[in-house]
Amino acid sequence: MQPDSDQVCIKVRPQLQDFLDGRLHGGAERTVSEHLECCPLCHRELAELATLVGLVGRLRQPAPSPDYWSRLYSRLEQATSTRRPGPFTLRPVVLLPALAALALALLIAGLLPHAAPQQTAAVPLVPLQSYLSEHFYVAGSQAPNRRVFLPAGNTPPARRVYLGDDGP
Amino acid sequence: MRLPRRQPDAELRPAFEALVSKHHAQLFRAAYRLAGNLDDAEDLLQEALLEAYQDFRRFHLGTRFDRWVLRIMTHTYIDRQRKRRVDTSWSLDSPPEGIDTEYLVADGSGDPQRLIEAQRLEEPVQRALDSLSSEHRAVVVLSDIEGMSYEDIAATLHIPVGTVRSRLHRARERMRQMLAPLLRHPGLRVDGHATG
Repeated sequence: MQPDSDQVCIKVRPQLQDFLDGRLHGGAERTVSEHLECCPLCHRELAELATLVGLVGRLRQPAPSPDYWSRLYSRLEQATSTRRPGPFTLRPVVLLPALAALALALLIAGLLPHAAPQQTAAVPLVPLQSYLSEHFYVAGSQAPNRRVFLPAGNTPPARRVYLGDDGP
Repeated sequence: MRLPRRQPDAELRPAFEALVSKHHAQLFRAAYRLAGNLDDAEDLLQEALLEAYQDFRRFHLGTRFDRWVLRIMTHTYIDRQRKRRVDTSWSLDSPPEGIDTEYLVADGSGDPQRLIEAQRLEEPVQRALDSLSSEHRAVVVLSDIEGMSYEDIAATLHIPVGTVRSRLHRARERMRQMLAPLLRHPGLRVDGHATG
């Protein structure tokens, strides 16, 4: 080892990786190479580095589960079928306005249940006064302008209603 | 050449499957070395390939399909690890744990090839690989297993070449420290480089 070897080691060691990977050229490569010939420590470090890279690179080839690739290809097929539009499939940008137009058309045509006119039995038109007298009785007849109509028939009045001077 | 973007996926599937079939061994090897075990490797590769398939129309014909999938896979892997927060954070200030190398003494054959092929070498090397953070492990896998250049790794991971170099240096240094007894074993010789 040369006297100034320690100083050279400090400079060379960070370059060992580049030297190993063939990324040093010219003078830099020559400096490292010459140092390695006379420095067993740096030589050993380079050898360990090279062995490590060789070991990692020669790790065995692993194998997946026997049915792995068939399962994977099935997933690809599923991904295709779920994303592929069918012959009658519309994109949302087309589908939504189409649905809105259809709903509007149904509304206009009276086909929607809630919008259709109720088909009720024909109710004869009767004068309002006769309708009221038939279904309600009149309280406070002495104050015709303040008459209150109470329900009659099946809804018996629970109490008398007094209006103004009609009270007891 | 770029594939037409509106081409239906169903039409692309045979081409995609053909490319996967051509590179499946390499892709699974990388997935396994990144994930560290069979189950996670299968999940990782499946996720990466499904993502690649959904984005296949963006793939440039004539470029390397394996590199394209590797890029997706390494990003998927790093994202996964970040979400899981299971990365092993380390620095050069914290010395790595050594690896028990008693097994080497039991093998007195001295045959380097047998040593390399012995499965018991697999475990400590993979364990050293597993000790790295996801970013450092990705660089080692791409460089020392997939044989990619610094420039290709930089393009794959979207990082500068200098970052590739520094990550690779730190990762290898840590693994070298962890595997020091193994690497200094007199009977071990790999690719023409002798130790000792």
